[in-house]
Amino acid sequence: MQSFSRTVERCRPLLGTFVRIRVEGLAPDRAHAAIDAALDTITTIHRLMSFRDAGSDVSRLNRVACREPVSVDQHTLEVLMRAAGFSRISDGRFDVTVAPELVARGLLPAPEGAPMPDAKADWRDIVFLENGKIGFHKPLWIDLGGIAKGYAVDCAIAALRAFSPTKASVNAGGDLRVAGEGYERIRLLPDGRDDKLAAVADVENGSVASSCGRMSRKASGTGGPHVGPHRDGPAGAWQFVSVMAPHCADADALTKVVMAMGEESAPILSIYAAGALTCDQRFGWRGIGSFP
Amino acid sequence: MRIARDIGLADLLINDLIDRPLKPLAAFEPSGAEASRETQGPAAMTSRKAVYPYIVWRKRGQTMNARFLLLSAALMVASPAQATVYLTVEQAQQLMFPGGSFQPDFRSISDEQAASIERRCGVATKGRQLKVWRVSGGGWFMVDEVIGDHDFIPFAVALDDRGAVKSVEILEYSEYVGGDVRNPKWLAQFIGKQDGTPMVLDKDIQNISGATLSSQHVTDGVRRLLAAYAILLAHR
Repeated sequence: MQSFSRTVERCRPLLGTFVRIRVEGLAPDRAHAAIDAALDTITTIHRLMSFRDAGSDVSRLNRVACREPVSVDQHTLEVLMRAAGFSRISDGRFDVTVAPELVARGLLPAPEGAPMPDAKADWRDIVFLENGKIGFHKPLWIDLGGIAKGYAVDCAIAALRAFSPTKASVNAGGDLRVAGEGYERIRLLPDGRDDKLAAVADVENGSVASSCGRMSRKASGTGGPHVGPHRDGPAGAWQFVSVMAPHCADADALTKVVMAMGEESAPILSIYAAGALTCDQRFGWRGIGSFP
Repeated sequence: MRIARDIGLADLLINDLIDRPLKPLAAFEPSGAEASRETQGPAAMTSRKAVYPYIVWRKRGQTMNARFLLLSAALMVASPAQATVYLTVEQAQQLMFPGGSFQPDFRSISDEQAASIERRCGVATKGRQLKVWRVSGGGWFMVDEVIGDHDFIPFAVALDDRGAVKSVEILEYSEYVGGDVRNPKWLAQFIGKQDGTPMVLDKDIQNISGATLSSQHVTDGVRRLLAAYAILLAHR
């Protein structure tokens, strides 16, 4: 088989951010076919789990799951089950039912036609029923945001692998996964911090996801994109968390767990074979994680 | 392995590692049905300063190797932004309309038309030219650019013969690698440092993980093109 050193890279606006896909070691035609397949996968997952799209599984759940069981796609079910795992293991620090808080802060639009959420509802009110159906005990709004993005990256890598590239990487706005031999060096960039130190992650066959307490240096106000464990305000307003894990969905979800729990998240990180690097104003850079 | 178990990453004084030669301390694999533990790399435990988080994960023949490093500013990039060209206009054309032929049909936009485009989409128009190609077999290919977080982002849009978006491709993107372009002080630290200083980040960094960048400006740019299509092309 002929080998190609050529790298093919493409970028599309998807999942509310820029999705960049790179493959190496494939003929140009096959490389574009592989990237197309990966982008199609991401588009599918985006359509299923978009909070804004009224036709998505997430929107249907928010509208009707408190009244009757809702059938969802296998992908959506998978992400919900993973999310439930993270909620259980972090004692609710990770919770996909915080969407009302994000809507209140203007980070998400209010879902159309959905009943007003019960203020006491949390992740335990999401029930997994027979035949992969989902029901809600109380009216609630879920947002799968980050974990769905990480899951989309995982699925995109699986789609690329079917074409057997020597190397592949998928980066969805900082949630990224690399496959193939050799380290890839990734710059970790906490926004708004001066650049005396440059943190990098070297990853081979793994994922990196980062979360910043603030959306960007341009965003005004104190409300970051994360919600505190007691929903009493934004979590980690000044904190930057970067997590490396084999799966990108895990890495993304764990950034929220680390942000909420700090060093106490170490045992959870070890379960997912993950490590974290955090940066905040008070402590500077810190590594969190423990070995099994 | 035992050494690694005693040292959580939390114990590591990562700030001490700067500018020191780094060696892997040890490796671990999660316990589980498919995983088996083994030690990798020298257990160079004599100095804490040679320690950094090092993770190995093995599953179905795919091994995750991962490490975090902190590099000092001396190793920082020479230019804060690096541009990646994903597709040329010709490549994008062939990708978005395989086998099609493209007839340039550039339109100039009058002030009046610009105003109605803005009214229609709520996005300010920038240029006074609509770069559009008529595609054999129906459809349109358009190129435009928006102002992103750090630089201009040129992009291409494929419309079908009824003016619906088939696909969007980013042609070029300047990634913010670090530092502040607009801050002369920040830039000054690199003057005279280009020679002989290893610019590791500039060459090696292919990806960034940080605060998620919004693609909203591209979404707005696509809306603007659709409005321009409706006003200039749809009924001709």
